[in-house]
Amino acid sequence: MVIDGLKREGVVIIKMRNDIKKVTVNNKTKVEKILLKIGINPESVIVFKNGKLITEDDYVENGDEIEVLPVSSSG
Amino acid sequence: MIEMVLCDLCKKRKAVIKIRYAGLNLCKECLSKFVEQKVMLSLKRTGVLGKLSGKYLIIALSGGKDSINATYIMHKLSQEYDFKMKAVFVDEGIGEYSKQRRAIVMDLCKKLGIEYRIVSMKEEMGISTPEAVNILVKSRNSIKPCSVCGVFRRYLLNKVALDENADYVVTGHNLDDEVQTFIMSLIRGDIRSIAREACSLGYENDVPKLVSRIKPLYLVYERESLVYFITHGFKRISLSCPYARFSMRYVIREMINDLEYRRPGMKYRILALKERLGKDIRETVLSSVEMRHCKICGMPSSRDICRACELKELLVKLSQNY
Repeated sequence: MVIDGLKREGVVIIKMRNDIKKVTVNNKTKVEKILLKIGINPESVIVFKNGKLITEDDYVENGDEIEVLPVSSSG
Repeated sequence: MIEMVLCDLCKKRKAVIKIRYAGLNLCKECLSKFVEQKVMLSLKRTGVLGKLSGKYLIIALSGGKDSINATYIMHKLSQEYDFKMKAVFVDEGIGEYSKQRRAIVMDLCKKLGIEYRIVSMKEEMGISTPEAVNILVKSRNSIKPCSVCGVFRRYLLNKVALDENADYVVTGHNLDDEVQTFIMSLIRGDIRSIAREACSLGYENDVPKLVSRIKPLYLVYERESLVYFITHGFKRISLSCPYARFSMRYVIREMINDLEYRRPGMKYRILALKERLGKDIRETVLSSVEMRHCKICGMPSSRDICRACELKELLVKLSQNY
């Protein structure tokens, strides 16, 4: 996102099981892109934002917290 | 403020899942219809739907997402199609993992008004899954925990279904399970398994004492099943089976999900191949296999002693030798 000629970056917090990752993203980034960035196959997880299900076509921005749940509980 | 992705079908509600192979984002209501239509399709394709009236179904309810979905959907259909059902939970004795799932099963059955029966593996087979695993580990045997637990559970479900005089056993196997099983059979070079699995869509079998199976979620991706489960407000237990990581299935699952992401619809194509191949080789492969009955327990088997009795004997023998 470019505001006042500056490229703004943001941080998205990702929770997966007991693991918490902070990922630096350009503002307004597609969920699919973030998952791939941290090595997660979007096909093997579902994603929540603020407790609500979202799809990998949704976008997140600075300060958002997302929770990633593996599709298979035994994996 | 970021705009939310809307459902591609109703164009009104917020999407909760992307169905990559169909190129659709769906909301919870449209996903629910999508999943239930797939269930109807698999029941119709096998001809089971038209035969359900007046029948008695045993449903294998493990307390996991798939068996809960299958129970919920079959329960919804039971009034319209006039059949009765009873849930069966096989208690493997895996500590808190089994306890939590048993509680979920009892709670769900009470809520839906379904009768249930709890079957203890320890009581019925003389050994619980952790005891069996302990023997296998101590004797350094390469048999995987799932190979014992899975055989015993299938055995007990069939036994209970016979005991209950049931017409069908319903299981929660989803499309991913079917595809993984097929790939595992290919890797083992197990052509008999591929031929046998051809009937897993619910073809009637004519083997005495082997109750026919119905798999309502046969065409439902595991991911769709999970989102259906969550959006219907069902509870998921926090624990995973402590032995699942030893299974080859884990590796296969990752591999297939990777392929599915690169080539959406890959799982469907593998499933179609599985069915086609199974049908083509079924006659040739299975004509040489004579179904008989286990000399020990009398249950159906392609050998003199069934796999469950064979494993039971092996575990006793191993436990005496270390």
